[in-house]
Amino acid sequence: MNFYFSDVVVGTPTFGEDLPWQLMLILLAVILIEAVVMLLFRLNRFSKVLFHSFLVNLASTVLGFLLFTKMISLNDSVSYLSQWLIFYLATVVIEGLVMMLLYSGRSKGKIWSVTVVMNLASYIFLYILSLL
Amino acid sequence: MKFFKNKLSVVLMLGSGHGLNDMIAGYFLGSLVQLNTGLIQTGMGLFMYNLLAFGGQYPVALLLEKMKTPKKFLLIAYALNIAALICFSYYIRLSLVLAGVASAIYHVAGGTICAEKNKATMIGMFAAPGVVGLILGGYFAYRNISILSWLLFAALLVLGSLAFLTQERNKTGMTENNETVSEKKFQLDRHDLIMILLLTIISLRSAVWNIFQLIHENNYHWLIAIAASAFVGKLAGGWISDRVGWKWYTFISLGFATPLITFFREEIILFCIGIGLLQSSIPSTTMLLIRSLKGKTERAIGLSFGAAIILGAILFYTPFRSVILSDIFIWASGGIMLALLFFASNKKIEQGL
Repeated sequence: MNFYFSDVVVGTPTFGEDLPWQLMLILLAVILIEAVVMLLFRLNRFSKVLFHSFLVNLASTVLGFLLFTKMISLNDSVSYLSQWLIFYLATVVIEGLVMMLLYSGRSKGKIWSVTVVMNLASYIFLYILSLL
Repeated sequence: MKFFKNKLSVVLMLGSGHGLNDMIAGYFLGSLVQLNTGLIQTGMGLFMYNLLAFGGQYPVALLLEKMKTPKKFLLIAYALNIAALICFSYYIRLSLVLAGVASAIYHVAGGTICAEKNKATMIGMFAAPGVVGLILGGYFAYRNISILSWLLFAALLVLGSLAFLTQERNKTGMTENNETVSEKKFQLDRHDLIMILLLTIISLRSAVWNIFQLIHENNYHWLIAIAASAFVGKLAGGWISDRVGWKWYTFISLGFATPLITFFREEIILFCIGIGLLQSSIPSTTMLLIRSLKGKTERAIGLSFGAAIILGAILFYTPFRSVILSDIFIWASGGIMLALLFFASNKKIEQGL
């Protein structure tokens, strides 16, 4: 299994014939992980953070899908770990912006901290998965 | 929320817009398959479109509930469709994303306007052209007939027509009844239960519907017959259910549809009658769902046309796909749907409505 991008897992070339099933499961897992982190930061009640997690991941998934070709070309120019770092940063930026819209009344510092941590958690999960 | 002056003409116009919206999607998705971009590319494209078009409806519904400007939403949906058509030849991925978002917006905004009169007939008229458009768009793509410029022309016409519609908003909107807080809390649980039962019924119906589309994949002779049956079924189902009662009609249509679609799979006429009956329950179940979510029409439409459909489709992504395609599954689904409907009609539970 080879992940080229992010939380944006759905926007990646991977897998085999069971592609949609695997994409969906991974997306669901990522949504759940990030929702739990949001819950730990007491952003809202569980049903709300789950829905918000779905929205931010929808946004980053669309980005991954649109940048698919560009991401593949990264393979030739940068190392594997650097790719992960680039994808991580891209995801944090897009999800952070959506989070700012969703929690416009909250402090910016807190929102960005949550975004950094929740993506760290989901990327660790994805990285472990990519080693399998 | 009252909307436009001549309701019937507006619903007919929105229904046509729905047909065109789905035709654009059908053409894009069909072209994606025909372009031979590879399994992964095609799979991802289909997944992405479905995620946005169906999964996106609930968020759109919440936004519309806040803003109460369905006309603006409709205009945005068609502007996005036009943008999708323009960039289709250059960047197909972007087109899929734009069309997916447009579809989510159009279904919720259009459905909400059509549900204002509290009539399943209107919902049927709005929903019916969708399947025809989807199959026709897919057919043109399958035959490699380029209809991009025609689609663009038609989309511009729809956008123009939408812009000329007059908006007449009711300031009070569809609000909840004046109930005490405790009553509300108590009834909310009942509403939630009924909503879950109805969503399960809609999802199962959608799953059964998907089975036959999958069986006849690329068999356009059958697919067009199926689409025509669904079209007639939705129109007739909406009209009849307004007269005999939404719940009764759903019972009857689902009860008759199950044996017809399982016993007469090879008999095109009887089979199509079964499919027509199956799909004819869409307007009535949507109206029941709207009633169970008092005052939240947008949300009910988003759940009925979006979330429930994606839940029904999820089954096909699972490793149990072969089981789902069997007659046993269809019989079991039919039985479960009728049992849930019976349970939802229980007087004690129904008092929540």
